[in-house]
Amino acid sequence: MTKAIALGNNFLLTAIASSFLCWLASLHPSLLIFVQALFALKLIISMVAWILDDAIVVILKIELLQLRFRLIASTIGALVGLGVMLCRS
Amino acid sequence: MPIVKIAVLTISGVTLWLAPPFVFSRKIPLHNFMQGVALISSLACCFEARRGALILAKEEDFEAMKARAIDADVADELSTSIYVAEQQRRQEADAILTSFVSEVETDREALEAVYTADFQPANTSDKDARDLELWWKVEAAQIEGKTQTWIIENIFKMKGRKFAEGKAQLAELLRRFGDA
Repeated sequence: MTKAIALGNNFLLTAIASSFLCWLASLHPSLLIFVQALFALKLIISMVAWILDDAIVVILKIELLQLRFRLIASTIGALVGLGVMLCRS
Repeated sequence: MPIVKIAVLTISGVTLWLAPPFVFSRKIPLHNFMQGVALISSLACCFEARRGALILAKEEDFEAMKARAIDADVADELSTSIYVAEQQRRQEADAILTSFVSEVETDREALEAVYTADFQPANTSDKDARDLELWWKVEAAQIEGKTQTWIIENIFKMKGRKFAEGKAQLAELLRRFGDA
C-alpha cells in the first residue's frame, strides 16, 4: 500500500515538475527555448536508456521490467504535466 | 509518519497542481506568480508525501522481516526439540530392547541350569540320584527355616553317634549343590 503511494507520488512529481517547466517557459521566450531543450534532452535520454536497457540494468542493479516501467511512467508523467499546462484556461 | 498525513499531502499536491491552471482566473492580480507558487508548493507536498511513504514502506518491510525471523526462530526451536525428543525416544526404545534381550538370555541360562540339573540324575549313578533327592529335601527345609540339627536328624535320620557323619554329609551336599 505505502509502496503504491510512493510510486504514485513519483508519477505526480514528474508531472508537476513538467508543469512547472511549462510555467517557466511561459515567462520568457529564452526560457521557452531552454525548456524545449530540456524536454528534448529527456526524450533522447529515455530513448537511449530504452535501447541500452541491458547495460543500464547492470549498472543500476535493477530488473529490466522495473527500468521499462520507470521509463514509461516518467514519459507519461511528463506528457501529462505538459498536457495540463497546454490545456489550461 | 501516519498514512493519513501522507494522503493529505498527496491530495494537497494534486489540488495545488491542477487548481491554478483550471480554476484561477487570469484576471486575479499576480495570476502567473500565484500559479508558480502553487506549482512549487505542490512539488514540495508531493516530495514530502513520497518521502513519508518510502519511510513507512521501509518500516513495514522491517516489521515483516522481523516477523519472518521470529517465525523462522520458532520453527527452528520446534524442529530442534522434535529432533531431541525423537532421539531420546529412540534411545529409550533401544535400552528397553537391550534389557529385554538380556532378560531373555538370563532366563534362558536359568532354565538351562534347571533342566541340566533335572536331567543330571538320569546320567549319573544311584548315589548321585539319592544325594540330589536329599538335597531337594534339604533345600525345601532351608526355605521353611529349619535348623541344621533338624535337617540332620529328620531328613538324614542320623541321631546320636551318627550326627557328626550327617553333618559332614550335609556339608558335602551344600558344597556340591549349594552353588547352583
